Amino acid sequence: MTVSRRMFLGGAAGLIALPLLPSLLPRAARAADDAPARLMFLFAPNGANMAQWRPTGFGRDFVFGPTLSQLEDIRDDVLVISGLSNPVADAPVTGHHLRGTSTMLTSTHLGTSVVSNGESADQVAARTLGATTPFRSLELAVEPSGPAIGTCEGGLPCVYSQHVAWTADGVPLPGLSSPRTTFNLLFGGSDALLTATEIERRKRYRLSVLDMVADQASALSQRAAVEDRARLDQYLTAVRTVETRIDALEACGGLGAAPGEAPLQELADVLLDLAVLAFQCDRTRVVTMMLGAATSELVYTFLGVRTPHHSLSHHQRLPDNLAKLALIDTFQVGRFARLVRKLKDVPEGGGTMLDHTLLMMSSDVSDGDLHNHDDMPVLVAGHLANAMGGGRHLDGTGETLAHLCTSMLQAGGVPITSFGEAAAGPLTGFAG
Amino acid sequence: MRPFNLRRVCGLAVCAWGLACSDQGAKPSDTDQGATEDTDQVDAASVAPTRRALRHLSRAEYNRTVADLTGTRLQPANDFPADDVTDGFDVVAEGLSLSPLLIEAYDQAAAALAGEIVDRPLDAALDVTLSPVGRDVTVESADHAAVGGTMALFTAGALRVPYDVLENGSYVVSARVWTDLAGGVSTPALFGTTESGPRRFAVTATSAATAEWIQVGLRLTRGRAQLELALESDAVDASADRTLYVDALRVQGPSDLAVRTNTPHDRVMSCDPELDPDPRACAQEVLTAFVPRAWRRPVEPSEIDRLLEVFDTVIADGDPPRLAMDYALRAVLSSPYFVMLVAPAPVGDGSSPVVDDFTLASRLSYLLWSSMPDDELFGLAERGELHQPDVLGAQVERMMRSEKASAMAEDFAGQWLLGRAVDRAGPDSIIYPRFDESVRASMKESMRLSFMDRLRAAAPVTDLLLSTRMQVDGALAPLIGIDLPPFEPFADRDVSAEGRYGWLSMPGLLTVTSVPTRTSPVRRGAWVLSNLMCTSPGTPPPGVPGFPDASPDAATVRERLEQHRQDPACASCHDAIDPLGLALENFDGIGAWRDQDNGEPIDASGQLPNGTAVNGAADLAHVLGSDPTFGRCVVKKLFTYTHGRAPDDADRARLNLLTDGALAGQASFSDILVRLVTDDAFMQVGVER
Repeated sequence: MTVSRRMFLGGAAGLIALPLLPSLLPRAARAADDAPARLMFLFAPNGANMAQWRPTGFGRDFVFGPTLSQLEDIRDDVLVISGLSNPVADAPVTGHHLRGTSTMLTSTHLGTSVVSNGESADQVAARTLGATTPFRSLELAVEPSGPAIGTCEGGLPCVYSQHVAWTADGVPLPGLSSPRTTFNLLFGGSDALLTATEIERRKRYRLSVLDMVADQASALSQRAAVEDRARLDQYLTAVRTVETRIDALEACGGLGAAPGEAPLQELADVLLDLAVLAFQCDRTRVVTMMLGAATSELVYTFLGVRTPHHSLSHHQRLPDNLAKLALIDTFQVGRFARLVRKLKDVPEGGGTMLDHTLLMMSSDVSDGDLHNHDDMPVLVAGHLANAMGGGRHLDGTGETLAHLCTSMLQAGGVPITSFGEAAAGPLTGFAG
Repeated sequence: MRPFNLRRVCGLAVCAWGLACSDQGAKPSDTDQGATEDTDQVDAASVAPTRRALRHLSRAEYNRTVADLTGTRLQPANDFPADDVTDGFDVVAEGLSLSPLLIEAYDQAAAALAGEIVDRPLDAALDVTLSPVGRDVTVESADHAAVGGTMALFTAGALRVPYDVLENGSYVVSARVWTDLAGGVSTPALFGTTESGPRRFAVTATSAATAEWIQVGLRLTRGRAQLELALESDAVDASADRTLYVDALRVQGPSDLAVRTNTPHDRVMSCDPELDPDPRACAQEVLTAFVPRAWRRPVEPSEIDRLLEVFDTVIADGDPPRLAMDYALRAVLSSPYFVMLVAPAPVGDGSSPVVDDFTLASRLSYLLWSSMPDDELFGLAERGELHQPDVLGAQVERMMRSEKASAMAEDFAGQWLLGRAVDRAGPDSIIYPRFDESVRASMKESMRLSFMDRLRAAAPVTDLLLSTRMQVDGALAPLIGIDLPPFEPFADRDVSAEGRYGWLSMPGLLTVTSVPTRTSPVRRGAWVLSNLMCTSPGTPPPGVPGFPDASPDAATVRERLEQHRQDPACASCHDAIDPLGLALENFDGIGAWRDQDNGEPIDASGQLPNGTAVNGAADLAHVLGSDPTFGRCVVKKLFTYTHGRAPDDADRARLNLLTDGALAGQASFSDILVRLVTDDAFMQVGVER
């Protein structure tokens, strides 16, 4: 078998040619009817140049704007939504970016002095979709670190700038940004060169280590102060989660070596390819991906843009700034488009993986200069449960990101009727 | 001179933004706003300090700790999820969360570190012969047979033999082969490792007696490799087919072995369970010596027994003692006692006893070294002497002289004074062609070394702003404006003739507070306010017009900013922020001196909200340095970093004492640090609030 060479030879470049490997897939993922439901949520920071982004016309007879025109070949797989708002992110005065980021998937007002947030849609999904996979959910992020200068926007805790995924307990889930670490985490228990017996034994050994760790954490917790106990309980929960993961690890052989580190222009693609691979091996069914943190100051020199992203997004309506923003937007949408094509290239059941996946991408604000939270830039793709009617531009005015979350979760088979603190029902016109 | 007070001037606007009108008792959202004007004279001793929260090691602390613990060169925490930064530091417990991801990362790091400890580094190249027949061998060739020690491949397909590589390096792998030619000239064989991909050989030997060695030179990495030998094609024509025989495989290397001494293995493994007649007793010996250092406290025999259970689990499955030792060490390094800085629980009756000496040793070492205590601290803790104030004071002095105190520059000042941010600065290469990677590295190193000079000096902390000395090397000299050979090493040099005073004229700081294409007096001013005056200016409200482009009316940054400030909504705060940044306008976006901006002469003058006129960097340094607010701010930053939390209401009297009178302006860093570590908040368990 030469799967490993074909799959990973040359690192990132090899990933692009990922073949379908039916023999690698756990049994559950193989049968047509059994193909698992997957949901993905992508965040692209600092809003968009909406004039270039927005399609003209609604319904089926719409025309893509310059930023989205690259979606033409997958037009029928995509739903563009205009007019959706994220009202909980509206700030009294400032803090729009952080609020918009942390609430994109929670639709819940944030605590201002104490960190608190609602459960994010991906985590709600993970309660149903993640019950049987080693990873309830997978969090990825292109940009790992916090802002370098000063206090965070609007006097809000900086933690709000880094996370779109929040557990029901209000714990933010950090994203992985190293391809190598991500690979090792996802497939660490299934070294292609170990025998099945060895893999089983090593699972048992790792569990015996974690067992001791959990014992110690419980013992610590019993005599700890209240504040520490909360932290230790968080720790213990995390340890239990990892135990469950290790226990559920099945060999997913022939993966070869982990990919190396990647430069910014390739990093998102390499990470998203790992997400697709995780789907194939059924390591997880729920993924979030941050293409940057709130107020991201990433510099896209490879696009010829030398101004940091957030600074640029305060474009002052200057044509040069707007043109550069559109370049970054086009790049971000390109990651989304590539992912959709990739999912569509993986045969699964009678169709493709895209038939069993629903993904969305939005941002923290609409226009980076206005910091408005109405008319958010929103893309949806995928045919999971045929819930979404593709090939359209939908006017979502009057509804919110929470409505979209409800529709997506329902498509994933999550038994809910509403989402977010305002209990929003499904999105009108989602199915077409 | 009146103390600098932003709120008096900017207060109206700040209130309008809803940010800091906290006098009605609400906790301000920005802790920098608190505890600045506490006139109530509470006796510090009467208020028990708030207890310190448990937290996990920051990434920097983790890397330094494992280096001190095992001598490893690995930096496993570089792959950990980023630590969240709260109140300006990544050691503030409130902001740190524990995710399954972090647990997995600890597990991976522990595996890497344990492997390095357990595996004895090779001191000579190996020469190992492997049999092509055996239980580990897999054969894909549909038709094959083993006869004695010989494997015969009748149909096309591969044979794989696993080999555990102990050291990275260059190896030669060989196979002894022969063939039935079946009328052909040679038999095509593929040989190599599965990972590297095999190479093609033409085998011509036709009997065991004349068998030939085919060999490949390649690089192998630690871990399991698969040697792979394949018969590429068995068909000559329809009537004849070929067979490939192999009776030995051989691995030689590494040929480029570097022998190291004092390795993690040497330091931790006082015996080798693989060779010891009593492997369990050996494991117990290793753990008994290692665990108290790893967990930074004395360890109960029952805790060693619990680790030996992990050892026993592996042995019971029939795996070798080396692997059992490996998992027991992973357990030590995955333990919460290793990855967490555990805080003693409060006693509950409202009193706040002094912590045990081992906890104190860790508090000290993580404050000054961002790492575990050394043998001397452990010794003092064992003898119960560390909590004596004179001993503590002497230890602070000793530890600050140590090389390890560089952690204060990298982790404390690296965050507070922006040294770490230099890594991510991106000046425009067309506008600033002089900026390159060596300049970046020198900017950062200059900040580290200069801070260490200030930290260790007996001079007052105000020297941070007023010192005329700076660490400069050949790469940085052109930016500073002094003549040095290009590769001149760093030295402490007088830079006052170049118009530079203290930290505000550090090229690194001036670079990271600029935007890539120009200076930003607003960023610079806001940074001074937030970090040197501990007064957060907040962020701009929405809908304000942005920074105007250069125009004939407004060519310089200063003129463009003045346009911006004509809007009263902007002026209320920018009047306080801008003069601070404008005073630094003689330094361009990478901190080089300039006399002109866009062809116009630089005007670095301005008026602070309290009426003080400021003109240029030297003036600014003296105004800020003579303001007691600066001393208070330094104490607050150090307090936050020391305790892993911002000062709270219970700390008001304590902060007043620490910054009291002469102390604020006149005290050196080491005076303040000694006061901090001999203070109740550092020495006591504290109470829950």
